[in-house]
Amino acid sequence: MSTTLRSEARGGFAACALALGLAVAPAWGATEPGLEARFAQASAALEAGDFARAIVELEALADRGEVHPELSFDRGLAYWMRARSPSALPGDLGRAAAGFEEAALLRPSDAEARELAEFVRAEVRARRQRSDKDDPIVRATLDRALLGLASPLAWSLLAFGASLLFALGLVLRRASELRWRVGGSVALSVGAISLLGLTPLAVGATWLEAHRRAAVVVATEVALRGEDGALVEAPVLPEGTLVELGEQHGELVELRWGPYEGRAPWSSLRVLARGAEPAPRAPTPGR
Amino acid sequence: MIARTLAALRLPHLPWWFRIALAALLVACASLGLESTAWAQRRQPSYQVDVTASARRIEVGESLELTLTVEIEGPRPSTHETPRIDAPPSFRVIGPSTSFSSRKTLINGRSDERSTLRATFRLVPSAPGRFVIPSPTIQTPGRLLAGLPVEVEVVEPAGGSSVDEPDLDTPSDGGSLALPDGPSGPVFLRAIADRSEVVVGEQITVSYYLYFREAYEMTERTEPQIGDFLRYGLLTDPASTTSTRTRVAGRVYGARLVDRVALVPLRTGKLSTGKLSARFNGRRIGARVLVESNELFVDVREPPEEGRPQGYRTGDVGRFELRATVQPRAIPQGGTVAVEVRVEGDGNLPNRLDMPQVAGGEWLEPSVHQRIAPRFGRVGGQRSFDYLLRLRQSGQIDLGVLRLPSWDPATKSYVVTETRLGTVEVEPKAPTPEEIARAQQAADEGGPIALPRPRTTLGAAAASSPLRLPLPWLGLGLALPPGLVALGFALGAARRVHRERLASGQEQRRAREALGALKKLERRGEPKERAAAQLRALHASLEAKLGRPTRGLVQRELAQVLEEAGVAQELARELVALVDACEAARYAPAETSLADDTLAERVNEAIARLRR
Repeated sequence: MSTTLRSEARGGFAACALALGLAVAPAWGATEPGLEARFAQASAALEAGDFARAIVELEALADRGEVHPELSFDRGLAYWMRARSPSALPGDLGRAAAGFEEAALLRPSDAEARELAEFVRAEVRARRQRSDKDDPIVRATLDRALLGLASPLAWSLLAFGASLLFALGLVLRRASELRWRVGGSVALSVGAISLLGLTPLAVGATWLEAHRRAAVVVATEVALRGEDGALVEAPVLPEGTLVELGEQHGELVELRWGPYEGRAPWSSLRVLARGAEPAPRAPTPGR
Repeated sequence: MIARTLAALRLPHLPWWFRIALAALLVACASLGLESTAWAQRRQPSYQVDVTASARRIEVGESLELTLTVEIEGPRPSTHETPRIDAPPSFRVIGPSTSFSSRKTLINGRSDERSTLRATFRLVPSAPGRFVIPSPTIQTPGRLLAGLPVEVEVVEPAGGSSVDEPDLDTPSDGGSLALPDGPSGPVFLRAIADRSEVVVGEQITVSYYLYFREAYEMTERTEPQIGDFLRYGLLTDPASTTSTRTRVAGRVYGARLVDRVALVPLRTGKLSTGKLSARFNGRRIGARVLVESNELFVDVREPPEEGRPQGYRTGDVGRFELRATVQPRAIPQGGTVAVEVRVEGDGNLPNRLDMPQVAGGEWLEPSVHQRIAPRFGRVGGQRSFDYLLRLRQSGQIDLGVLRLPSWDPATKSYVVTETRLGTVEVEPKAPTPEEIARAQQAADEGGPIALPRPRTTLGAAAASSPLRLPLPWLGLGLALPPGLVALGFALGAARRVHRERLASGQEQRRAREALGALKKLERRGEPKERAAAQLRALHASLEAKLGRPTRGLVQRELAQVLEEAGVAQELARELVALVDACEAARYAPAETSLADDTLAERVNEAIARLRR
């Protein structure tokens, strides 16, 4: 009996402690410096050439879930500076490319970030060429190129317009006047063809937006593997390559690079933040 | 002439067109005849006969080689007899050995055939004196071919000569081949180089002579192993060389050039030219006797460092001409121009060229074509390098000057051959960002581009995620407009059907009432009234069936409407006839031909069939 009471008392104490902790947690968060302050610290460090400190600050902000184009840009720049320093680490150029790509993704009008991502990749190519490594030119497949022409919403609206046209054609074909009936036939044909073409595009773009994320290779190079763990017949992905991320399988994740598909370790990729959604981080090995 | 011929044939009375046709025929035949005559003349082979002697003065016991050469222009004779010679009695005749060679060329559809017959007799004199040896002869179909006689002086043998001495040509250059002492064997091979000191890439000519003083047969010749040289054969037909007489250690030898090669050394050092070897058979030699030539060593050095031009590559020795063509001269930025460089001359042509540095340009690996062959004893020819030059910078790009330094062994000095490649107009290309090109170039050259400045202020927040409709909502949105229309159609159709059903029900009720009234009147009504009731029942049934009023329709219209409604043609006619009969009975009962009972029965039956 006394044992039961003691255990109940311990359970109650634990519940109280948990409640107290939850109540106090926001207050602790509030005491931390805000986004602007930490960003100012990071950019000042970067201007002073202290890229190590800038990386710590900017990664801490990213871990907090802060998403902002300037954070991504300066993070890319910090990694690029480290890549050119004696304290460079493998994957620094990839992380630099990821930062610039993320900045361009968060603010599509940021041409400088997009250009710098290309510069970083050019530097990767040059370094690989000096090591007698030739990288193939991999282009997006036709479906991805088509889907990338417009946003999912644009494809959806176009498909909806085609659906409306189709419906209008159906109505007009019943009109008593010949000219309306002819107009209805034309609208029906155009609407039907457009609907057939645009519906897969709208569905595909919406599905891709919902289920796929962009990521950048942050390892020196990555080889794609199949479900059975065997190497896929595909060229290795050089550092800084922008890939399309699929489903996660433990410590591996499905990815697609042009026409090539396979799995690669999470740790070799950096997922890019999108909109207000922070980028998911790779699972810690062993968990 | 044709007119005179026709007149002679007394054909002027023939129509004009016949005469023209006949004249054309005659002309054609005449030209054909001329052509065939010419062809026959061409096909008739022509002969050119020549007789050569290997020597004009020989010693007793030596052999004289007398060769009859017949050049035949045209086809080779199908048959010919063995060549013969009527030599003086003091000559022993050996042979002949004959060979036939022919060459056929076809140019512009016309064939040209040439044949050569060679018959060689060996004549061994047994007595001295001056002799006129008649030409050997050969009998071809219809013609005996012979050349000019040859006068030969036979002298007593000098000291040291062998009785069985081999065949020798005139000792024209025997002096240079003579050896004060040397091998004493019946045959030996000797290699002679034209120089013993050269620079890397400079040609050495090595001649291999066979010395012999016995009749021999040479077999199984093995070329020397010369890994340190490039080798070019200079003697295309070793069998065409003639032997010359010379002396080795006082003994008469024949010497024949068996091979001559041009060697180009590839490295410095004392390099061996290897040994030429062959096996010999002969009565006094033995069977398959292996004979090796002497081994030559050549001192190969580099050209002097003094005065050596920048960019000189060891091995580039000779006198060259440099030509370059650049096409096109105007390209878009990032495009390529083809630069064809042709090096031509005598010597060891360069294997690669140092192309000039071009700002923003990248020389791709060239494809090399060459045509190298000995000419007049010297190795030379041409080597073409086809380069592609990618130009990443826009503007007028100067491709610079291409220089080819080489060592000229003739003047013992360096020569730099130059050619100007000119300029190329590179138009800026919008799709390729100039910055990317500069970054690539800078990265290629090892110099990274300058880093941008960090951003110190937070700008506008991140753009929201691209808007997207949830897939179920998207499906619903796409299906909604046509779905609504389809629903509207369905509702309209249902309403119409309902309306029709309602109308049909009223007609049916009216028909039933009309039939009920008819049954009552059949028992007690007047004929007129009965006919009127029958007519009403008929119209009520028709309207119930057709869903439209039928009273205003004439016979033809009623029949058409019934047929369109799917009523059998026979029933339709019956109904029309009954309507007509009922109207007649109603308004003029006296004129109706049908009995009242019969009409009633037919009306009832028709209505019953119609309701079915």
